[in-house]
Amino acid sequence: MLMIGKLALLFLILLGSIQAGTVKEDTEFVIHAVMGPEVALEFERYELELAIKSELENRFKQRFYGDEVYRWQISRGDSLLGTALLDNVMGKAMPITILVIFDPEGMILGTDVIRYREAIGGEVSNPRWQKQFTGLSTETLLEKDRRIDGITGATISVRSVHRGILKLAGLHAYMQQKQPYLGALK
Amino acid sequence: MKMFKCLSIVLTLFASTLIASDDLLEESFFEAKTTLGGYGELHFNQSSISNADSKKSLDFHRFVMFYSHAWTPEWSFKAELELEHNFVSDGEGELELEQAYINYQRSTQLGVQVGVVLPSVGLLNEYHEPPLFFSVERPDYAKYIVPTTWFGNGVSVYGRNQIIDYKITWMEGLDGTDISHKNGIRSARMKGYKSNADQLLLNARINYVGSPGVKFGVSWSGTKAMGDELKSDIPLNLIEFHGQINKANFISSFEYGQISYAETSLQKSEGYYVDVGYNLASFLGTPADLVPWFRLSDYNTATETLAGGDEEKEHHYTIWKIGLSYRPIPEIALKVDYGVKTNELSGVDETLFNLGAGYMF
Repeated sequence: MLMIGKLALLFLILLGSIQAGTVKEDTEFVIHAVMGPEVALEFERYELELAIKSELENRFKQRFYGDEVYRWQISRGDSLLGTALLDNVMGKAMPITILVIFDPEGMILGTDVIRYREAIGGEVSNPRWQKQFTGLSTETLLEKDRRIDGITGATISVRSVHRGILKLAGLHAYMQQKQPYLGALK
Repeated sequence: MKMFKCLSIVLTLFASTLIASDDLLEESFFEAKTTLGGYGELHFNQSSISNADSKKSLDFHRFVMFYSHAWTPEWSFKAELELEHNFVSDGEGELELEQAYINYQRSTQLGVQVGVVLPSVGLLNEYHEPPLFFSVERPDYAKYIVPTTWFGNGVSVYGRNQIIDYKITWMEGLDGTDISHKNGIRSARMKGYKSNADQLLLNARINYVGSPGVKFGVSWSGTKAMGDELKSDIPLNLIEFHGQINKANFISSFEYGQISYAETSLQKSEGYYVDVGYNLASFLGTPADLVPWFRLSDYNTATETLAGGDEEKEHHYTIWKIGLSYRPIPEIALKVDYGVKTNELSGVDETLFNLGAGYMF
């Protein structure tokens, strides 16, 4: 019993020494990992217009966390390579911070869970689960009966993250001036 | 006493590692919030033995309210209050505070819960919302070998990375005077009621979670279940293995566990179940899940006793079940199952038919 206690103690001290970065640092780390270390990032708070906010919330049955989302424009030289959007979705009780990176045409280049704050259901952070969204166009992503892989015991967080990704794809489509396309999805 | 010392060292060191976040983005990304959730299930149960009249019942088995408040991204409180069988009076029904803890999540790798906590034993003790398992009732294994829902006053430390997920719990122990051949450790749970803290229970669990839709793990729980003037303390160890697969429409769960006891007539409890189901949703072209499934199970709360003989057969059951689980949305399940439970000693077959409707949010 004492031996187990000592081992547990050592384990916890090792874990305690791991320091996480800030949300912004972690987000930019992920963007660089996906887009390359040399890309330039321009960060801004993107204010949501009330009309499009309501439309997207109704369409995807999920609220935005606030009146703004965080946006990074990703470029190399003069060319825009993509856009990264960061927002919170609600898990069972705590917000989950998700990042979706799009190319200018709306194809998903990568997704990531930047912060998972619940004790359970954290499997949605797994890159192998996230990978199923990479390479999908907004059109494919929004196909009506498209199924996503389940995760044992994580029903609420799976549904929440999935809807969050769809919602950000809808927002990205709007940002790219594809409003008529969004309307056609209804 | 050694366990207390160890626990206090862990908590002291843990507290010394706390560092306040000064990141504006983090702050602006969070607001203090209270959330409500819950789950519940209505059951119709019918059982019959041989040609005798069948027993039928309608039971709103569980009504659970989940309540949570988050002060900061790190500090939150979570609670679950459960009403069982829709009624509490004169020893009938139960009102239980199944979870009520302050949660500090320092990082994904390290969090702490203090209060009424759940030891991590098997698949269902922490994840038991009705849409998450096939049968109308929880498997008998999750009642007699792992006594779900097993909760108590204590401290849990947990965390995860991309490959493993762990949880260690120190909590109230068990009342050895209520350990029995018939129920194993089920009646020995103290359920947080003025728990005697002379002997604590240590529980440690590790899961492999590296592949989405796949989970395998093992846990160990040990304590000295407390006796009284007439009965000595009972040292016991519960070791169990569990796994779950949800891939390519194929859904399967298995659990195996055994409890070894010393200094009592009961020496060992043991059991398992295996569930296999297949989700027909993609064939039907619907987003709803429709899963036919079957279960094989065997458990014996008195696999080994000092006296042996019929004592080791009296509480031995083998079970088979088939069923259908329909989930129009992932949070709602409508279920039907049918099966037979056979006792080794009497050879009696009990036929079981159940209907259920459950939800979670």
